Amino acid sequence: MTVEAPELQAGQPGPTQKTRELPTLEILALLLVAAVLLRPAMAGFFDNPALQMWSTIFVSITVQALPFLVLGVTVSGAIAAFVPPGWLAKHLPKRSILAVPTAGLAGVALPGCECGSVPIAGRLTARGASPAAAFAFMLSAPAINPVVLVATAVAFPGRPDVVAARFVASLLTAIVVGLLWSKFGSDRILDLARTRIIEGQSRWESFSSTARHDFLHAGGWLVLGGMTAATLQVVVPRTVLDTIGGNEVLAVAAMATLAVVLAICSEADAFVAVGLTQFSMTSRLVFLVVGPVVDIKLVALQAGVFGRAFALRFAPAALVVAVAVAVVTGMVML
Amino acid sequence: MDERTQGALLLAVGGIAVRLGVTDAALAYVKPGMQPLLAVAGVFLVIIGGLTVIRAFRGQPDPVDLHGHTSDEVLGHHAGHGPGVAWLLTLPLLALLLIAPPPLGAFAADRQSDRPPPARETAFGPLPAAENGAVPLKVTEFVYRALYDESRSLEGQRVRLSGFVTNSQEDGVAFQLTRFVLACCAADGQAVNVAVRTDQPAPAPDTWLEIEGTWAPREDHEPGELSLEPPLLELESMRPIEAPAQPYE
Repeated sequence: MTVEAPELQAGQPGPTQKTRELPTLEILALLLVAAVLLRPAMAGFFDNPALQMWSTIFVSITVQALPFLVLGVTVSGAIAAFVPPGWLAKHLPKRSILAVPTAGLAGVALPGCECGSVPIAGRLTARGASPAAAFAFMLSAPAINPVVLVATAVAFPGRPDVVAARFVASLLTAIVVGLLWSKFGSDRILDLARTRIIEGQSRWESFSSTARHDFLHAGGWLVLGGMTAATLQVVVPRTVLDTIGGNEVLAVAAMATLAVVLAICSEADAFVAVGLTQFSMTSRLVFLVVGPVVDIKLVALQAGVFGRAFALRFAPAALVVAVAVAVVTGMVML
Repeated sequence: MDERTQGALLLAVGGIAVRLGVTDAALAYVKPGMQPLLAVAGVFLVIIGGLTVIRAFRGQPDPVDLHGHTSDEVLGHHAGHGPGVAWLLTLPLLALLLIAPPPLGAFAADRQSDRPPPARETAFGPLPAAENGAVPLKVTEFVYRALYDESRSLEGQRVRLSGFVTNSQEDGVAFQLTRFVLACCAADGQAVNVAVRTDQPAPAPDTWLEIEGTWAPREDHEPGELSLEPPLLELESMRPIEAPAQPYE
């Protein structure tokens, strides 16, 4: 969610903004017009079959994920516009042992992607929810909400077990991490002064600007994920992928690394997982469970919302828990 | 990326999505069922993008500043690389405009093994009726029946298949007739092959053909068993055809 900003500047145009502005609109227009005009001249330029296969796979991942991304940002925009910030905190049990699983399950009700859930968790703690519960919510919401589960079902037709395994593993990860935090974590390293809320916007404005911002961010990361999956299929020799895919330990390590590096939005990651055909279902489950919990973009976001000291402790712990839970769940359910 | 550009980018992405939603171009990448969803998503993006552009040109303040100016403190590096990441959205647009990626073809099929798909747990019904002297079948239907139908429903039947040509490594096989099958989208396309036996020279890879012929059971394979090789077809006739609008099965 993107409605946070320091109160002083909320709603004002930035005073220093003009100094480093590129003519980005002109660049974009030029780029697209040039592409249309140059196409006849460049026919034959792109006949390389590897390039064509790469672009087919890349485009198909982005195109397939697009409607789900749009659905996701519509919902996150609607929540920014219509759900009062204190609503969830008010309805959570006070004790961690009850609050953590409840908050984890409450993630079902918040369709949105992980970029949205981190600031929400920040807002929850700022409004008095226990941090452990807020973290359980932050980790489960992007992974087990209906939009993500439907996207996963569409990506793996005829495999309801994948959807179920994703739900179970992600929820368990969120609860385990939340309980670990309530037992061993130190709330003092949280820097809660960082979360503030923009006031004074109309609902429509807050809806459309949140949706726009989330789409542009998540879409960009999705493109990066699509390019990586396409490259793996086209460039990496099949023997290498078969070797990694054939060794379960290597496959799990590879998928966990990929999830962290790619930072794909959870509404779109199932479609990238679909393209990783050489890997076992369990290792792809690791990809789906780790992605919404830890990735480079999330660590940056968490550092921004809760402080750097927190992010450096929280992310490695969450990664270990997510991989372990996903592997066990995969062995049992897939 | 300033607000006008964000709006323009959303307009462009939305416009392309609408176009994919209403034309056959999308069928190279996704299943037909996705088209209405693409159109709706595209319209939504066009509306949001259009309103953003209008507001930016009227000079109204931007409530969310992607430069990371107002959100630096909260979002950390996120805001810093946010605008950069959004630029990546131009890449699929440029790929569609410049390369217009074709459906998966012989090159992609060659990167997969020739192994046929494992058996589905479905009983085989009666064959469809013959039209013009041959039973029209999908390539996948032919492959499943040839490999896994214990009642040998293809025995002695002249069938008609359409697909594109791929190379075969097998002795005595002129070429393979191939179709891709999608589970979700082209990213998981699985090549399904029929090994074609004929004395005629093999057409160039990626040529779309309509062929007629009969199933030739392999001596070392009993229908119903797992097979590691594609089924054989004895060619009787072939003719080149236009690539179909829906390239996948």
